[in-house]
Amino acid sequence: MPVIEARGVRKTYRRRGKPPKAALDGLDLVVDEGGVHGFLGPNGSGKTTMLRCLLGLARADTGDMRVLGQQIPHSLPAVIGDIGVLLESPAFFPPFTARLNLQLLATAAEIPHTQVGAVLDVVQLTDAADERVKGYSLGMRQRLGIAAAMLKQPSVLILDEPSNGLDPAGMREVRQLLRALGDSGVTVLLSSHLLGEVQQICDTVTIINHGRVVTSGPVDEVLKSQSTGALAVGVADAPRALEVLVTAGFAARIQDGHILVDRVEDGAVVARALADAQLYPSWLMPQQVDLEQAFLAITADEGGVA
Amino acid sequence: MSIPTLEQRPTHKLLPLLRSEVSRITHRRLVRVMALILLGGIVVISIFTFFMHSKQLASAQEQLESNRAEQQRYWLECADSAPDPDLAEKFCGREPATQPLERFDWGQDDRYKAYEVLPIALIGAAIAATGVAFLIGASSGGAEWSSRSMTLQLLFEPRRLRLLTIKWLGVVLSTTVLAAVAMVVAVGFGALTAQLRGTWDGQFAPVDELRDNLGQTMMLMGLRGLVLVAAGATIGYAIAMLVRNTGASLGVAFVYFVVLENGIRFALMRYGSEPYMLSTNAVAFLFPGGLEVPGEEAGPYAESTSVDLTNLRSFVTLSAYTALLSLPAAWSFSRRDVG
Ligand SMILES: Nc1ncnc2c1ncn2[C@@H]1O[C@H](COP(=O)(O)OP(=O)(O)OP(=O)(O)O)[C@@H](O)[C@H]1O
Ligand SMILES: [Mg+2]
Repeated sequence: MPVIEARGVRKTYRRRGKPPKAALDGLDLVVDEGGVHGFLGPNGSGKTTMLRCLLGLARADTGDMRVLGQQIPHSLPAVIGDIGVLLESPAFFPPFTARLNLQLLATAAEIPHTQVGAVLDVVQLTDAADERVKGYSLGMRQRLGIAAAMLKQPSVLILDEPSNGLDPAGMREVRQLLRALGDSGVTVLLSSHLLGEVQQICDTVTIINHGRVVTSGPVDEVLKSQSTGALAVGVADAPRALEVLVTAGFAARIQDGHILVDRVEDGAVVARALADAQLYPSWLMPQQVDLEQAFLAITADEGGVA
Repeated sequence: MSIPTLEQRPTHKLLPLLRSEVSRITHRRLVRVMALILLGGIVVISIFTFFMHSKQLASAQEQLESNRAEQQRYWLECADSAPDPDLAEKFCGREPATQPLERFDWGQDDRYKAYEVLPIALIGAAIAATGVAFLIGASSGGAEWSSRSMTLQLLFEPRRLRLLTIKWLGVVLSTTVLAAVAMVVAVGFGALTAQLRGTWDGQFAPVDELRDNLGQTMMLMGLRGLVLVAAGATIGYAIAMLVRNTGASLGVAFVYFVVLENGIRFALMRYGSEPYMLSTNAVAFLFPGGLEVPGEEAGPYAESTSVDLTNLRSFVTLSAYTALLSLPAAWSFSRRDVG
């Protein structure tokens, strides 16, 4: 059973003097238990809106949403204790210290105050815990937001751009933390623009644009689907090799001194064609697509900020 | 880095939520400053009052008696010249000797008159506390929105009406406790002043209820004061929930009390608007037995009528105002998108 299952979610914002705008246009989001799930999309594509709908903060027009099997928003109270959340910029009371901010939340949920110290420790804010949040840097606030998301020791962690403002070490710590949590059975839903990060730690991704899903699935499958199947071939006499390959019907061209052959199912076919012409490739390398390229290709067609 | 383990799952109980809310309110600096200003102000005024009153009870008494005796002499002279002894009162006014002594006070009686001043001290403290309660209510609500911490709290308690009710209760609880302390301080200082520099003479009571039973009447006034404070806090909180901003809420209150109420008084008083004014009702609700306020003017030359604004009537009016603001606030909070 999926931990998060949303089907056909629509959310329209009314705008003054303009036609209403569909921020979510029949969006589906399915996240299975455990692991890290990336939730990607260009600016304004509806990621935050979707998360707000899932958490009962915004009301979806239509659609069926379930978290841990419970209908949202109706039965959200039954599962909210298992959900940790960081939404865009964290929302703390600036004149209070970080510790007090978390203690107030903990008191309400009868979470022991030792947990407050523990989560502050995890995000390395112990030294600054008794300073006012007003004086916190962007990254410190973000760390505090992550600490708050962990306060309940949730089994579902929903994070909207958690790395926003973090320093390289902080980003890496968060990455490691999320990966470890995903491995330990926590379901992490991670919205992020750092595609390198997503590719490193996510098991599955959903990419959306204009409030609709563009693609979804395990990261390697998404990458494979975007792969052109290009093969780079190193060969001594590149111009002749090109002639041979084009004559043999390959879509090939010269790039940076080597040959680039498009849509190759099996490298051996290329190697044999060259060998038959007495040209022996010194190397063959399938061209990888990374998530950034895939993302740009997938979301490019419609272009622009939503 | 790893996530710390909890022995007990997070709960959703009302009492811990209320505890957290009260703690949130009492930790706010503005709340502390306002409490300090309220209590400090009461103490300063009380000390001032103490030194403004004189201990010379005996000399004041003598002075009033000699004032009355002097008036009596004039009155007798006047009565002598009256055509008929039965008409003496008609010609010369009431006989001074039959009148209460305090009528003859021309500023010489510096005693603190408990029956007269204590109720005023109580009403003053209650009204000041109501203002503070409004401010605390409005800024608690407003701060929640400007810091977006309401969003965070909804991620711990998504049942909006439940969260709102508890938060409202927290505001009401904190402000009424503060008001109770303020009233006790005001009345306590007053009683001390009466003891050392004044009189507990019941003849100075402005209304019968006070003369007949000072303690009980004051107690009931105090309770009504707490109700008024709760209403003030509720209205402040409700406005902040509607406009989602402290400054705007204070602006609304300013516009209402300074511009709108006075404007209405100026323009509509003769059509009988006074019994519906919020501030008038607040005072009438506290004052023992209520107040008589101007009603509709019957005509250009007729005497204006007056309306008996009883405690009950002003309570109903105040409740209507409170409900008028807080029900839409609750409704909008339960439906609108957050965060
Ligand atoms: N409160 C709102 N009122 C009106 N329109 C809104 C509101 N919130 C979001 N939108 C619109 O909904 C669309 C989706 O916004 P959303 O914040 O969900 O995007 P996002 O995917 O989170 O973007 P980003 O990557 O920049 O965080 C945008 O076009 C935005 O303009
Ligand atoms: Mg966003």
